Amino acid sequence: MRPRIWIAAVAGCWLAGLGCGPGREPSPPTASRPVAAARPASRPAASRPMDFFAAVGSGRSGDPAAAAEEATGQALAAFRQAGVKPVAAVFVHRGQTAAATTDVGRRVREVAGVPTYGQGSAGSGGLSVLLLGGVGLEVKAFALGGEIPHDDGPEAAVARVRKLRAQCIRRGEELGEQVGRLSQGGLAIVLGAMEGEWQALFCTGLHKRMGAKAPLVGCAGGWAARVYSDGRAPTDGQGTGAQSGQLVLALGGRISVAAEPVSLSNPHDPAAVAAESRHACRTVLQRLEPARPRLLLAFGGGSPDTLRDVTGPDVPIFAIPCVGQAGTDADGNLHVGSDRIVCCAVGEERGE
Amino acid sequence: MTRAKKASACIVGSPALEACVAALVTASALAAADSTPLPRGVAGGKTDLVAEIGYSTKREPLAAAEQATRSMLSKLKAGRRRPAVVLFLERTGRAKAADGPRVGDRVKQLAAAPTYGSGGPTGTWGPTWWAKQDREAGFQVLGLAGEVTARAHVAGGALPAEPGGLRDRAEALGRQVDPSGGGRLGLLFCGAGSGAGEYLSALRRSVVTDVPLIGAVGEPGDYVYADGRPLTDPAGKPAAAGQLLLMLEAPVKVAFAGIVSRNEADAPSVLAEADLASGHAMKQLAGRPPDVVFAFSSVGRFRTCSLNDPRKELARLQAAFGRVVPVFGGFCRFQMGVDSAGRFSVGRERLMLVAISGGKAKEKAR
Repeated sequence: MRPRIWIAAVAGCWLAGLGCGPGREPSPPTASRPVAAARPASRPAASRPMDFFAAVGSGRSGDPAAAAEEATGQALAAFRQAGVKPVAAVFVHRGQTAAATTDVGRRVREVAGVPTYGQGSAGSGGLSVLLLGGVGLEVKAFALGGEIPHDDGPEAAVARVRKLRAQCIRRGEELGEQVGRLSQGGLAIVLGAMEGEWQALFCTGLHKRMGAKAPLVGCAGGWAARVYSDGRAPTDGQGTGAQSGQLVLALGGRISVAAEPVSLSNPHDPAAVAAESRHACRTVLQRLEPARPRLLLAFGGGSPDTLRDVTGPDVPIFAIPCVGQAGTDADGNLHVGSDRIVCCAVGEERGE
Repeated sequence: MTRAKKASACIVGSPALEACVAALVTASALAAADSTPLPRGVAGGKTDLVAEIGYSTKREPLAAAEQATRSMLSKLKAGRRRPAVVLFLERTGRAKAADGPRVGDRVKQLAAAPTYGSGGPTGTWGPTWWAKQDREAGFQVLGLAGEVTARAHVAGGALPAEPGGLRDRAEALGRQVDPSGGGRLGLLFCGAGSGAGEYLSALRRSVVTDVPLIGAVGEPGDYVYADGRPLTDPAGKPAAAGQLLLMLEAPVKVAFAGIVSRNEADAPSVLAEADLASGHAMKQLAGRPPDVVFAFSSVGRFRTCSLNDPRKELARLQAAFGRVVPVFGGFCRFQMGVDSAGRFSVGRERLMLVAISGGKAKEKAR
C-alpha cells in the first residue's frame, strides 16, 4: 500500500471515530447501543472475533411490517458497525392475531436474512427485535402447535382437571425431550400460548426433561399468543398447523449466562416494581462476572428504562412484556408464575 | 425497629397503649418507602381472647350455616364463653350473592353476636373439601370471645372495571376507617374482577396506610355481609356483592408472614412454603401460642394440594401453630398482606397469614 493511501485510511478512521465520516449514521434513539460500537478503542474486538454479540431494535410504526423493518434495521446497523454477522433473530410484538405475527416474522426474516423466531402476545409495548450473533453461537428452535391442555374455568370437574394437569406436564416433557439436556453455559428461552397454573405445569415438565444445568427463562403470552418459528407453522397434536403454540430457543456456544427470577411484592406499585427489577438485574450482572454482559433479557417487570441505570448504556436490553414469567435461579430451581421479573444476562464465555 | 423499641420503653405496663403505639409504628413504616421493612409483629400484652371454629360441608347454604355455627357455639360453650364477634366464610358452591343476607342473618341469629362474612372463595380451610367430591361446599364460622371488638366498613356493588373507578372505590372505603384506632388488624373481603390488584394497591397506598391488612379477593359476584346492614351500590340500588373491611380491635400480639409461591404446580415446594411462612409467624410470636390464624392461599396452591392430598397444606399450618388453633380463611384469586420480609404484598400465587396471640394461658391442651 502506498503512503498516500495509508494517510487517507488513517484520516478516514479518525473522522469516523469522531462520528463525522461518511456512512456513520448516529444510532436512532430507539435502538440499543451495541457493545462493540460503544467502546471501539478499548475493546479487543478488532483483534479477535466475538463469541457473542447482540443488538436490539424497536419499531414504533403502527403497521406491524413497517415496525418490524424499522426495528430490524436498527439492530442490523449495530451488527454492521461491530463487524459481526447475525445468526438468528427473535422478536416480540403486541398483538394476538396470526396475520400480524406472520407479517412481522416474515419482514424481520427478509430484512435480517437469518432464521427468525418470535411471539405476538398480550401486554404493553410495541415491537422489539433482538439479533444474536457471534463465533460458534448456535440457536436451535423447537416448537409445538396449539394451546397447552387446560380447563375451561373454575367449574371444571376434579377428574377432568387432574387429567388435564397430567397432560399439560406431559406436553412440557415432550418439548423438553426434543430440546434435550443443555450443557452448562447454554440457555433455553421458552415462549408461547399459555398462562396461569398451566404455564407452571408446562414449564415444570419442560424443565424436568431439560435438566437443571442450563438456565431456563421465558414468558407466557396468554392463551391467544401466536408463535413464529422461521416460517414453519408449529403442528398441533392432530398434525395440523397451528400458530398458537410454544417455542423453545436453545442457545449454545461460548457464552456465559446468569438468570434471576424475582417475585414482585406489589406489581401495581411502580416504585416497588422498579426497585425489585433493579435488584434482579444487579444480581445477574454480578453473577455473570468476570464475563462482561452483552445482552440483558428481562421478562416481565417494568420499563427497561428502569434497568438502564444498572446495566449502563452499552448493554442491549430485550424487554418482554408478558402475562407470566419463568426462570431458574442460581440453584437451578424453577420459578414460574405471574407478577415476576426474570432477568437473564448473557456474555461471552471468557472474561475480558 | 429502633423506633418500636423506644416507644415500647415508654409505655411498659400498659398493654392496650403498647398495642396502640405499636400499631402507629407499623403505620409509619407502611407510610414509608416500600423497601422499608415493617415491624415483624405488632406487640401486645396479655389479653383474654378465645377463638373457636365450626365447619360444614353441606351443600345447602342455610343448612351449612346452621351446622357450622352450632359447632362453633358448642365449643365456646364448653369453655363457658359466648362470642363477642363472629366471622364466617363460605365457599358458595351453588349459593349466589342473593343468598348472602339470608346466610348471614342465620349465623347472626344463632350466634347472637355481631356477625360479618363473605361468600365466594374457591375453598375454605377445613377437614374435608373440594377433592372429596366434585365441587364440595365449605362453610367456616369463627367465634371470637374476650377482649375483642369489630368495626365494619362496607361498600356495595361490584368493583368497576376502569382504574380510576377502582381508585375511587378504594378511597371511599378507606375514608370510613378512623385513623386514631389502635391495636387493630384489618381484614378485607371482597369480590372483584381483573382489577383486584389495582384496587388493593390503591387501598393500601392512598387510604389505609396505618393499618396492618390481610385480605382475600374472589370473584365479581361474591357477597359480603356486615351484621345485617343492607348494602347498596353507588347508584343506591340494593347489592349483596361488595367490599368489607373489618377492623378487629384487640390488644393482642400479631405476627405477619407470607410468601409468593416459587412454582404453584410443584406440590413439595408449595408445602415447604407453608412450613416456611408459618415458621416465620411463630418466630415473631416468640413462644406465645397463637389463639387464631387468618390464612389466605391462592387457587393454584389449592388445586395443586387438593389434587394430591386435600389436607396437606392445612396440616402443615396446624403442625406449626398447633392442631387445635383455628385456621380461618381459604383460597381465593388475590391475596394481600405483609410478607415474611416485612413488605406489603399483594397479588396472586401467595400464601399470606396472620397469627394472633392474646398471650393468656390456654384453657385446653394444645
